[in-house]
Amino acid sequence: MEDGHLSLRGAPHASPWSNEPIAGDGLDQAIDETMRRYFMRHDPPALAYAKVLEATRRTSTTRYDGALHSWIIGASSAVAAMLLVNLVWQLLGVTAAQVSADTAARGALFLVWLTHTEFARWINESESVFGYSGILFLHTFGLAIVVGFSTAIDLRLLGAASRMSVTAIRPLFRYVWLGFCVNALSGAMLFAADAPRKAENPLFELKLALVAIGVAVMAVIQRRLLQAESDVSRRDSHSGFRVLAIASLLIWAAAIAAGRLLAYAF
Amino acid sequence: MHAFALWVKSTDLSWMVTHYSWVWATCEVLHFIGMSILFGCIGALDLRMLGWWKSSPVAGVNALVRWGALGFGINVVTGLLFFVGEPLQYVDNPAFRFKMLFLGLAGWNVLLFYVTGVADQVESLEPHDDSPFSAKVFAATSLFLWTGVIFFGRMLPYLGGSF
Repeated sequence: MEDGHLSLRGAPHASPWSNEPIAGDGLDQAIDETMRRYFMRHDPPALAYAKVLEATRRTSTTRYDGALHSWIIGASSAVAAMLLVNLVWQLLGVTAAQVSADTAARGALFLVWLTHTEFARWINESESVFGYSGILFLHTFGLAIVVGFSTAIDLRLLGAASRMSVTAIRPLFRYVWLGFCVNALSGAMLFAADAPRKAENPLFELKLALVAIGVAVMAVIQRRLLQAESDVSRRDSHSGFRVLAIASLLIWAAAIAAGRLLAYAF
Repeated sequence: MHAFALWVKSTDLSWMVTHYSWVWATCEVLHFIGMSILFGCIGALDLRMLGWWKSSPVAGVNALVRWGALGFGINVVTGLLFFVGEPLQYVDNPAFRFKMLFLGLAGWNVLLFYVTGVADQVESLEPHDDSPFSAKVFAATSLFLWTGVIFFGRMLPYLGGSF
């Protein structure tokens, strides 16, 4: 071994303790013997390989049923539709459902109560970096993650960076949803800090509707990528991705615009 | 510095940026869109080099960097317009100085990434390949610095008095 010579355990012509070089037929026999000893004991390799191949093929061709994504798409579309209908009616001056003055007052009281909870007051009054400014930073950071990685995905779907396959970009969705969670939480805190004023601003409602549509579009894209990944026959059919990608870019840009103008609207 | 700021304030462009409120608001919107494009495209490459996702060859993600540069371009133009519009609220603002410092360091990081040859080294990495340690350091530094730029940008009104 010290000489760097090959010696194989159990080979008929070379004992593991000898430093004798083996070559030619001796080497072939040594390899055969070792293979037999270590790999053929229970299962002939051919059968084992076939099993592994079969298992791999089975998992890679399992169709993705998309149940979770259907829920996300359905819920966010419903939220967006409600907000948009309400918004349009509001702008047209239509009173669709008259709530009693009592109910309206309760709603307004709830918002006032929300801004006066200890937590909301701490957000507003804290001078520390964890207060309002820090939460606002988290909201901006989450925005950069959600819209940024969505943009990267959309650009790939539109044909940029074509050296990676379309489905290779899919892991980025993990970070899109992570960023979305950051923004849902930080957004809820920012709303609590200024609830009555945000609630009466139509731009806020528009922003929420746009975010809900954006989430639905991203979920549609992710579901289609998962289906393309699991179904070889669909791998090359990317029709519709282009429209989804452009829609996603426009909707996120509009959501940013609505959110940014919210800061100037009061 | 103050003389320069006052001169900038006296220009017609400065008057235009502050006189029409839609100019400032539009620039804010574009500044945030540019930030997202920049952070997303650079961040995707950084996370690939860190190994947080590996399904793509590095060269494939690297092609997104030029789009990140587009986002950076948008932000340089809109950022300059903010500065020209209200130079006095930035020159003494500590958050602004930190933001510029982090921006400079981020630029230096990008420059070193290409000059030291690490960029060429990772260019050949196939899907599921791990990147060398040096590339991971560049990636982590980049994420930290750009996050810092966003942080101090957001702190402009809170640490200093700008809006």
